[in-house]
Amino acid sequence: MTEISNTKLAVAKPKVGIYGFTGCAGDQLLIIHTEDEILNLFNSVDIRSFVMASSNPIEEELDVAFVEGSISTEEEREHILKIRKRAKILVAIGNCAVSGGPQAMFTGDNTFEKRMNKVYGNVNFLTAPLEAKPIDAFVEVDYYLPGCPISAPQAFALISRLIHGAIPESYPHPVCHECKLNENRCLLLDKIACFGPLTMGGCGSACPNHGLPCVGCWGPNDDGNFEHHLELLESFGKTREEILRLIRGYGGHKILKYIEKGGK
Amino acid sequence: MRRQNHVFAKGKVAHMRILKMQSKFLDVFLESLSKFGNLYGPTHKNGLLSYNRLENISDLVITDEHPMIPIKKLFHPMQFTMMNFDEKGFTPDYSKIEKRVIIGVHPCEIHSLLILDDIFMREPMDPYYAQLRQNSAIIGFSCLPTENSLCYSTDTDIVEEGFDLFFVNLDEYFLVWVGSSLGHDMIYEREEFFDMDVSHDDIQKYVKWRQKKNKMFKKSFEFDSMPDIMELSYDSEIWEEFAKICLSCGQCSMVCPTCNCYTVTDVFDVTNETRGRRDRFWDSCMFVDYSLVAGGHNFRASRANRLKLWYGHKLKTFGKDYGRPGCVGCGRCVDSCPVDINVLTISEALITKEVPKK
Repeated sequence: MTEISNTKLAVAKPKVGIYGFTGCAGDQLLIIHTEDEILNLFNSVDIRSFVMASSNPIEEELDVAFVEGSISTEEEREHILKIRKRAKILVAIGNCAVSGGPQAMFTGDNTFEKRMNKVYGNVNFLTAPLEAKPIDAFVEVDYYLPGCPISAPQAFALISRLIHGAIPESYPHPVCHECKLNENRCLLLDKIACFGPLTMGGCGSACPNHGLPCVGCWGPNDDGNFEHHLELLESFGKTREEILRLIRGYGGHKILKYIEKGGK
Repeated sequence: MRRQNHVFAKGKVAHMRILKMQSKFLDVFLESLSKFGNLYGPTHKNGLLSYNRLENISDLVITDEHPMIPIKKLFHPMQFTMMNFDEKGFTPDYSKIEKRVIIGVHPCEIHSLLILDDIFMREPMDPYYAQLRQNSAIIGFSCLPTENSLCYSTDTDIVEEGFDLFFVNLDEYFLVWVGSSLGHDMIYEREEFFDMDVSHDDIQKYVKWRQKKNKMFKKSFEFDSMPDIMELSYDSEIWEEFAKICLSCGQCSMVCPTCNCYTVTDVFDVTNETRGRRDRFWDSCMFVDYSLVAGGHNFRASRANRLKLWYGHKLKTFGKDYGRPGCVGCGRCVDSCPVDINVLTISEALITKEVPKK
């Protein structure tokens, strides 16, 4: 780095917070594990809060807050409301924050109390449990960085644009785009129930690269042909209930919404 | 009409020489071509054919099947960094350019490169494509039709130009067409493998091979009348019917040897807002953001309009702009589309006004 840019950054280092709610913490871990970029990031921004990397968080005003995980307790709900108030820009990172994650599999089916009781019985919780929901069920989200886990190239493309005040670019392409660039044979040709065409790309077609069908973890590709894709999967011998269950398995509530609406 | 070819015009010989080579010499000869550049060709990768750098000549797979991703990937790379930029300007990244000899290129693939030349090498020339093309030798190989070959319909089953050497497999020997002075140099290096006298019997054998090949095509379509039919069908309800089933997955564009659209994105350095790189990657007019412009207007928001554009290029509009429509009859759209939208089903539907049932 040149002397000039050092001075410039010292003047206007954006304040960033990285937070984790209910989830596996894999997205924060991915940020830490990007050895090529993590020191550059720590040099370029003022990390105020990142509990996974430092135990001395400073909870003040933020330029950008990155939030991982779903909201599943009353304490988390209060915390996300506070973060929203302090942050100019809030980014939901990872499947749990964006779509609710696997823990939101049955969210909204009116059996929460019953399921809670079956698993935990009659216990006193430190904080009241809530049915797991994505961040945008509670506060406004400015940008979504989906994934399970998020992709490092996508994450750093977004981070560098946000900290330099540039407009982030969306990537509204299905998983099939990267899947073909990875020279995979289309699983649909072999009548395997793949959700690639319905799902937002960015993962580098991680599952089809190993011969496994896409499960939709990146959330809906809003240009997907939801109606016909379901008919196609039904023609492979799957019932509609089985297909919807598969989608729900990865917290695909946002995909289900498109299916209910019959597309856009 | 003969297309003007910028790449091979210089090296083209007035009368194309045809030689004969016994099949047993093939591997040794092909291996000797590494003197002219790194060898590339179809290889098996995860059970599929794919154009790659050949580590060993034994990795080369010469067959009638085409690699799923066409030869364009070697000239118009799927994704790469075009340039690095900073406050002073930009530096193009030409690091992918090297001398190459690409072996096992089928006639439809050679035709597709001639079409891509018309697009990328007219002014303003694409420097990445042009340099990759200028540094690559093409060693063509004949093939026999497979299940979905349509090159007889599109008149791309035979090549007259666009190669340095072209091998026609007549079982115990090959007839070898020499298409450029570089091809001549390649032969000259290993003259002992080649027989200069092609006899009347050899010609007879070649004629019979052509006749046998022509009878092997299982599928055909009305390629010659498609420009008119497309024009007459502009407002056809058939497009809406196909739009209902199209998944907009974009696979057709990735596997089509003449689809050439790409998009670029600037990736900024985390440490410095004026520094970064510009990446380029394949795009498709089947994706919703392809025709989205500043201000939020989308020229082809509907799937029907996107399909019409795609098939217009393959079956009609290229004809007006570049001398012929873009389809080279490789059959990859027939192999690849999960909902059977391809040049066969589209042309059939436009003629019969019925969407073919699966």
